[in-house]
Amino acid sequence: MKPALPNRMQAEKWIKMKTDRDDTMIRAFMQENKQEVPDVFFSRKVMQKIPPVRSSKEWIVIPFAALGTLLAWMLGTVKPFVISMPDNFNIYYLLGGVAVIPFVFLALFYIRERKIQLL
Amino acid sequence: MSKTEDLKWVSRVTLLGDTTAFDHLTRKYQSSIRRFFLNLTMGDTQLSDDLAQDTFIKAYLNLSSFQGLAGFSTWLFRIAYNVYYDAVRSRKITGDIDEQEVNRTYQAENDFSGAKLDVQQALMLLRKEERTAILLFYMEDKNHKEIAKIMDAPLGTIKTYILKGKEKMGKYLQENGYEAGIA
Repeated sequence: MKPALPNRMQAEKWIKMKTDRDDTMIRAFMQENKQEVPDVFFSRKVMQKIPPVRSSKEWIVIPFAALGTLLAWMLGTVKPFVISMPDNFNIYYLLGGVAVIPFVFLALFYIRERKIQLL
Repeated sequence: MSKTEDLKWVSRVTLLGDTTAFDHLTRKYQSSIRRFFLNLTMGDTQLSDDLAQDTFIKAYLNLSSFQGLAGFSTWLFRIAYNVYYDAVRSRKITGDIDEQEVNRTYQAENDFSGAKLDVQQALMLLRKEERTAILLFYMEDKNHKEIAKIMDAPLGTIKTYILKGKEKMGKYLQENGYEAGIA
């Protein structure tokens, strides 16, 4: 004797149960195999390949360094600006410091912006 | 992980030219994008990393066109999907890609190979579109609407891809004795 054919509602219920079971199974399977991919310099490589920002203002460091040096030289040597310094003070140390400091800050800025890689 | 946070980083890049903000976004999404490509290319890390790099560079160059309606992640996956299909098309023209035979030697050496082998075998049963939709739905936790935006296809088509993919994968997993909770 042939088994009775399931009616439409039963068939739909069976399909839904099967789909739900597949859904749970596939979700569990995919999540079990979902792994985090470690960066390992990937983002650094991307950052090195992106084009530089066009409106770069780094050039401003050079005239400001020159202006600072000029001011320091004027404060130490030109008559109307001369300020009292210790006897053994060498003005060239001050000039050197004033000239170098902007470039030190520029280098620190580059390191922060990852334009210079230390490691 | 919020959309608002992503918008903040995006606006810092577009308005201030702050590249460190883009670095932040790259670090945040590199894992999901590279995993997506790894699964699509059947574990080819070199190709995946190249495609992921292209994706992030394209995202950077087109960041001003991001409107924030769909979320940055969905927008990024849309670019990734286009990059992948462009690569498939270009490689098909030169005839040097066979998706069914991708990098079997690589899989033996790969850190992910032990766990990924079955995923990739299961994914190989699917058509490209079904595979993409299944990966986005089950692994990257995207909903149907987001997948429709990523794949630029009608919602009904996406539901069909997922349904067909689900049937094939479900059958494969059952035949191979997979039970949820037992790896």
